[in-house]
Amino acid sequence: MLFVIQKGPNLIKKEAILETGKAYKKPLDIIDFALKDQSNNLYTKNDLRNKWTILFFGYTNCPDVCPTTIFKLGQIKQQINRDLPNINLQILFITLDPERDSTDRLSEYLGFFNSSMIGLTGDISKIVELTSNLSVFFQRINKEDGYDFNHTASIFLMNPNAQLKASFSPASSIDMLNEDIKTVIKKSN
Amino acid sequence: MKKSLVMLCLLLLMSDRALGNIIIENSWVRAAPPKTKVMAAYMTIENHSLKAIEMDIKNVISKGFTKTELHKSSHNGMMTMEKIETIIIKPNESLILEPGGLHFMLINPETVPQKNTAVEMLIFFKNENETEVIRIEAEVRSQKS
Repeated sequence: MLFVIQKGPNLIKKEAILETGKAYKKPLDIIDFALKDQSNNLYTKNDLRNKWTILFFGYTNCPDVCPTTIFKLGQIKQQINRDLPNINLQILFITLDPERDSTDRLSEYLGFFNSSMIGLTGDISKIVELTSNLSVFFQRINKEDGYDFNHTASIFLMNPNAQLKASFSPASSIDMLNEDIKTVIKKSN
Repeated sequence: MKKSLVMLCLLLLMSDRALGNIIIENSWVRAAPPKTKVMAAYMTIENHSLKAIEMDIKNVISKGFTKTELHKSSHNGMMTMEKIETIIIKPNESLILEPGGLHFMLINPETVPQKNTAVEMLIFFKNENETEVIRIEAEVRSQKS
């Protein structure tokens, strides 16, 4: 069993304006990272710049929550594209299971569920650096016929300066998430 | 082999969807890409009887899969998935299996079923000395808003 425990950032000023999560008055810088997208291209922190990014962690062997989150975020992206047409928004799915989630697997998986999303994989140590930085916890649960993960499933919103601006609960409804994400983007522009 | 024979006999004997006072509605399986090892099935199970019924989870069969389990996704800071061993539906209550919550986990498909086909499932229930089985055909489709 793999335990990955991180210590979250302290003394963060939060804007208490959201139903589904929290926004940071002072956006947080994140570490540099280098992973591969589903087309096998290098993807780094620099690729977060000049656009808004919704980012979440998961794994393709997850039958329920990850496809549900992909569905929700796909709907939200459509609504934001319609309501805020000048905003460039991308969605990133970063695997916690690079052992099984190769670039080919991510390509097949996202090609099926939502081809507009970007899937990232890479060396587990690089992924752990990023999860640690974002205070994402994950735990491998071994079973007789494979393994699953318990994991922090927060949805993160990165601003066009590649900084963490807000995080949201994935259990929230599409409409509530949509409203809150739009609120954060509009207040920041 | 034994399960297959039981299923075959039951299929010959049963009508679709509902027996007795248990009704299963809105059943569907989330469509998934090739090579997927686990899929999720959702539905609403209504107990219209005056007695509580227990789902016989260990005997649930999904045709074309090696195993079916009942799982519950929960979010309390962490997203967790827990295997459910026992579940009882009280009289005149419903059990809702839906994305992000309770769901059947369909494990190791022989081949991943395509969209617009159906997965045949046999779901067993028991109360006191009686046993009932419901056969459903859960539509394979994408999630709807």
